[in-house]
Amino acid sequence: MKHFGTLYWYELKKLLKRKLAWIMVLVITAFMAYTARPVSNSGGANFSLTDWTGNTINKYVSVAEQRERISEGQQSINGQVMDERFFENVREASNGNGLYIIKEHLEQESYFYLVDSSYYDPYDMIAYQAELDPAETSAEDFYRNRQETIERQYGGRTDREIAYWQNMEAQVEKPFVYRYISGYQDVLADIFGLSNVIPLVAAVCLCGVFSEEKRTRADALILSSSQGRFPQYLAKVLAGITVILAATLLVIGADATAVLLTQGWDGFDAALQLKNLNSSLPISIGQAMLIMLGLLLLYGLLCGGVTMLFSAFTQNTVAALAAPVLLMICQAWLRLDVQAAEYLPNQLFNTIPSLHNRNLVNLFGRYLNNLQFGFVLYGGLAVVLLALCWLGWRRSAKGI
Amino acid sequence: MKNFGTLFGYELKKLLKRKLNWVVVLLITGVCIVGVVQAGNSGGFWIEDTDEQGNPVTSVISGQEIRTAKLNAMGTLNGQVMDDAFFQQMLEQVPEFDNPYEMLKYFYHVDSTYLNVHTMVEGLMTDRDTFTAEKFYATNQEYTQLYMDASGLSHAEKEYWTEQMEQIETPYVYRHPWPGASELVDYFSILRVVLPVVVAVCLCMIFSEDHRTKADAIVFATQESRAPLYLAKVLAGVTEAALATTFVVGGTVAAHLAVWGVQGFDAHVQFYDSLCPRPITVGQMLLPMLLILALYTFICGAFTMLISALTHNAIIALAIPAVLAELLNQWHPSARGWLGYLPEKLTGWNGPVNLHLVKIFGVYLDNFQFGSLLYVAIAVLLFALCWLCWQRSAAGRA
Repeated sequence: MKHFGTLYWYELKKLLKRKLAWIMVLVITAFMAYTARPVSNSGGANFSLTDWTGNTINKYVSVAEQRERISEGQQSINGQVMDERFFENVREASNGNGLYIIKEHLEQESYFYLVDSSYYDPYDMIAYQAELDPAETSAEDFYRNRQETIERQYGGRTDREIAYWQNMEAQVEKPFVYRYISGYQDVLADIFGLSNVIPLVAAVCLCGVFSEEKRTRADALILSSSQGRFPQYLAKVLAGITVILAATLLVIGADATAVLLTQGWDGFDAALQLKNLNSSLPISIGQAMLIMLGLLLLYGLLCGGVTMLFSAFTQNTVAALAAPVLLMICQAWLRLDVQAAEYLPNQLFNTIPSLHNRNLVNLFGRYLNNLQFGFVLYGGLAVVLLALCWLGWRRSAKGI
Repeated sequence: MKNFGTLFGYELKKLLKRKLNWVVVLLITGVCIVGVVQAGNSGGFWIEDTDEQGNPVTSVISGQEIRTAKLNAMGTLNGQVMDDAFFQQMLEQVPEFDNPYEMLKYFYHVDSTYLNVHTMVEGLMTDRDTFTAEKFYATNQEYTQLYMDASGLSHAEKEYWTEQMEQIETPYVYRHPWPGASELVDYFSILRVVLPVVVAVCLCMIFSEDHRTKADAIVFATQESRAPLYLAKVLAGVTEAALATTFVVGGTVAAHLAVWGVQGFDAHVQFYDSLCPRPITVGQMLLPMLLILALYTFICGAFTMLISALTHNAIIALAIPAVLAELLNQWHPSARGWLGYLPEKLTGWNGPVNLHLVKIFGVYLDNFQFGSLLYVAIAVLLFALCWLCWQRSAAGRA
């Protein structure tokens, strides 16, 4: 293993010198950063509101304006404790503060968009619960309904699993404190999109890692001494890992930074439940974002492993570029009715279900939730794939 | 152009002999079929319920139950005129629901006959007691007008669509729409990413392989043969792209037909999307979307060939279209102006309800008609550019 550093550096330089990889990664990064900003949706809706004296306000509110109003409302109640007083304000707002004729959901929306948007977000949060009416819900109703929903989800679970989630739930601080969390909410919403482009990044960066020498016929020289094969393999794999981690970090970092710069950094320590109401994970929304980004990084490593494996076994750069991309696209629409399917990227990175998934995995007597097991699984798979590359590399060495 | 057939046959053979092409096309077709069959029975709704003791429980309406309910409803109301008596019968049969869970349980566990009709009228029926057929048609028309206003249509465009709407006879005679329509349209989003990658794999070497094997020196030896050879290569490429599209799209459509049956293509599109003012059937809505998907695949094939001719590098010719197709699929701008002709907008759920028109030589073309012309023009342009690049490499070799 003498001069391993030189070998590693040489392999890294080979990968870093590939213009196509640079261009593609930069294009993807720029695209993700560009699309991370709020979408300038066209269209909107007509809102109409009549007060008790018979005066009617009629106004067309564009989607951009609606978003702006919601954001203003969120910021105006930032930091308020979601106690009975808070819910009383929501009730009053949902009834037009007694000044407007409110009969239907559309009139409530009109009040928020045309008069005062302060409590729109909590109103929406309550309205989303099928059994609650924002115009009548008290703090007690809200927290009781949440508790009932959580208890429903305990159905079919073992006592130990229920105890696990009860323990988690006990650590969730209540009443919640309302916070402005648009930035972190939007980063979490982008996780799925990021998980779609990471396989492409891996394929473009690493498709030639084992196959390029075959194409240029340099493999005969490289594989001529049997002692050099393992350090060479290790150097290639380590260089591949370095490149894919850096590229993944660049893409997800650019997206997250662009979102947080435009939507604001505030709310890192806000309760995750403000976004995923029925989640029992005692973490903040910022921590949830970091966990998902960490998982994405590991997913990048896994995709890198798949690409390098194809490169080592097929010795064909085109196949190594196409196969992982196609495999990753194919998994995106696999819908299997088994618990294991939750760990497919198309489900794990769908943050709405995955952040309140209650399925646990018992690993050596210790319960892991889907996110914890996701780390173990993706990390383990990446290691296995990278180790399998050695077999492919050895096979080609024998051929020489 | 003598022996053009031999040239074409030779170029096609070169493409068809590549094992990777076959593996990719067959693998993707297989995965598409398996995916569609699985999706037909997967998914479902979690509903909040109470058990016999009154304890809160969560139960599931499975994907299989949903599919069975939808298929059971097929044809049960076909041929009935949607007049007052029809709606009255629905109101008598379908109970009033206190929450959405009750509604789901009723339609998927008890009786799905009126599932589609209820979905159509749900948003229009503010008051059950005073709901009439007249109100249904009037509100439908009002909402369509509001939708046209919100879409920013010009006066002439609104007139065009109002004329089109007049061709739809009211009261409607109910026909159950094909239940797989939404699923197939959803699936187009996957095909929009898969097809460009499949054709890129098939065609990435079409112009670069001769360069790599240094056979281009012989190929370019005579000036007369360049145009026939180019034509043979392009035609072989188009044939290969058409074959790949037929396999993948054909497999996907066949799987949808196997899962959702073959009835309901002749139902008016309004039974699928009540806001759509087009006087067409569900089948007539899906066909242009499939055509545009095929044309989009040809554009991707032409683009791959262009990159292949330009760079003489198969990796670049595969990577660029694959990355661009994925990024294009991730981009969701509004459907205004030219952006309405993006593949996502034409073959997505909002394709049939995009009402913007283009006037060419005094004739109005809707988005599907103009989109098809536009895609053909783009493909032809890319092939023309490809010829220029091919000529440039020929000049370099000559």
